[in-house]
Amino acid sequence: MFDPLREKKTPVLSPGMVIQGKWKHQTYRVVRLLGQGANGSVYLVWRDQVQAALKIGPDVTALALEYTHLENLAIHPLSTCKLGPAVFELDDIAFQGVSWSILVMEYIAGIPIDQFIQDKGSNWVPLCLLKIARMMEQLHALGYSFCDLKPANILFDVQTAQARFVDFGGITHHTQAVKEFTEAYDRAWWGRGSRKADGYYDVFALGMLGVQLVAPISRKAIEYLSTKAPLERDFWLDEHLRTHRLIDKVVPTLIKMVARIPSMDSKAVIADMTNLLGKKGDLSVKNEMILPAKKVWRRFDVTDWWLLVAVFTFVSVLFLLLWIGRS
Amino acid sequence: MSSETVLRQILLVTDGCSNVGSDPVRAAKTGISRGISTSVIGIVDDGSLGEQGKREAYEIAEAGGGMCRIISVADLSMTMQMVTRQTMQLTLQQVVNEELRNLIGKPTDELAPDVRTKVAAMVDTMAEESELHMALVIDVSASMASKMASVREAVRDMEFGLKARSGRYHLYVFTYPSAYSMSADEHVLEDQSGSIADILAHIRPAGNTPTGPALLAAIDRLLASFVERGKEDAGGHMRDYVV
Repeated sequence: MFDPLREKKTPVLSPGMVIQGKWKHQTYRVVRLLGQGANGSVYLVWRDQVQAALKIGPDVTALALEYTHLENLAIHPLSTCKLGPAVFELDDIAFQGVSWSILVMEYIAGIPIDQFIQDKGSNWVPLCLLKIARMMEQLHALGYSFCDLKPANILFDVQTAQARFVDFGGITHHTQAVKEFTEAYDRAWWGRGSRKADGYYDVFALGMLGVQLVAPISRKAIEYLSTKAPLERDFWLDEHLRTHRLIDKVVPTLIKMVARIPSMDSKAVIADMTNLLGKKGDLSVKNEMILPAKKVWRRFDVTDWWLLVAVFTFVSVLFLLLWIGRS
Repeated sequence: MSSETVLRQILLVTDGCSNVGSDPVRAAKTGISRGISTSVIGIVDDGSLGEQGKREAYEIAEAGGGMCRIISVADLSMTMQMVTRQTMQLTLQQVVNEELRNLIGKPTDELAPDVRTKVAAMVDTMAEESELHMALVIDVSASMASKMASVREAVRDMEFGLKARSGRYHLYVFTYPSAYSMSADEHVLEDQSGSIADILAHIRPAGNTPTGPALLAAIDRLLASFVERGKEDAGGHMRDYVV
């Protein structure tokens, strides 16, 4: 019988362990834990001679749905590039006498987008957003939104800079309510629209992802905002964007992406980002020539005052010593 | 089938152990025997929940056929939405399992994966379209004072989530301890344009934690709403909140 108690704990698989699927009799050797969330854990496993990602979780329905989505995407004639991992199988395993559902997928090596940008520098942001927007466009053409767009769900290959979505648990058909979201990327949370899935929902989330990359909103700020009404969050975001509008040339586009009245779909984002990248070649040279104003005038702050006090003390001590020496 | 399915569930948000009145675990059992599941979100900030509180939270969810999440207050919005959705799926899965057992003698998790994906797709559609009667039972005992702003916004956020679904919903909000009775206060939204969350802004947390009586009050309300629904004509007009 279906046992709600299973919600309690996802089994912990230890490295070296060999498990076998109940239906397809495929064996998997556990290498290590890749990630853990509220909805289950993902392990790196050997599936014959190939490495694979094995997702194990308490929610039978969620895993079966994710499997269906991934399979549909893989065989769909409109898919031109790989959006997510290829699926191997949906199966069950027995662990300590209890049956658990597992989903085995292609293992995608890569690092989350925020880490990727940290390594490469923020001038990679337009390119990354462009790549994600291209994947989004395909998904939207099929009538789906990705919804839970956050750094951990977008992996970049370090060498090729190829982007892939992982975790399709949040993928939602347009006109349905968004299933999974993260506050900082959610349109409704910011008071800028509904929580119904549509193409604009993803564009908003992508815009917020861009904001997180060039002008991060701290976890503390999010916690503070979670006690405020959506209208106040909305104003706060405006203010945040206004103060950071000169920090990066991508910001004006981001402001349009997260606007209250959506004007940009994924195609428009692609066009804008391509534009930014296209100009980049000559702009980077021009920037240095035309914009010596980049030298920012700093207002005096506390450090400067202390410096002044220190210099003053030093000079007066010097005079004091001189005076003592003379007399 | 999907549009006729009515789901009734209770979501309890608490940061402590019950200390007055009847046993909440028994109340949750009463609920599930009438088709009302109970899920629990335990908030651990300031450590007032404790081991005993955590155990009680798990026991209530276990007895109520729902799920239990222990979180910090910052994750409340996200968790409330997630628990609601997953509890719906869980309940629907059980309904489907029951049907399958009658038909072929096998529940879903004993079905071959390719059949199971079809069942999952059906459960997903039903979770989106079915009618939801939901009682939110919120602990406003003294220790909750510092968390009320977050709770208020999480409730507002939850309404966004419910509104986005295509199925109809009724949201009842109970706070306990009650200012007037031995159990819980039910909040009525007089102005339909507002949010029920705004009502919570005027509540001053104080007193002890009668979780059991509060759950029973919510169960009574959901049972009554079910009867009311039966009286209404099928295509009739229904407000967002019938309170």
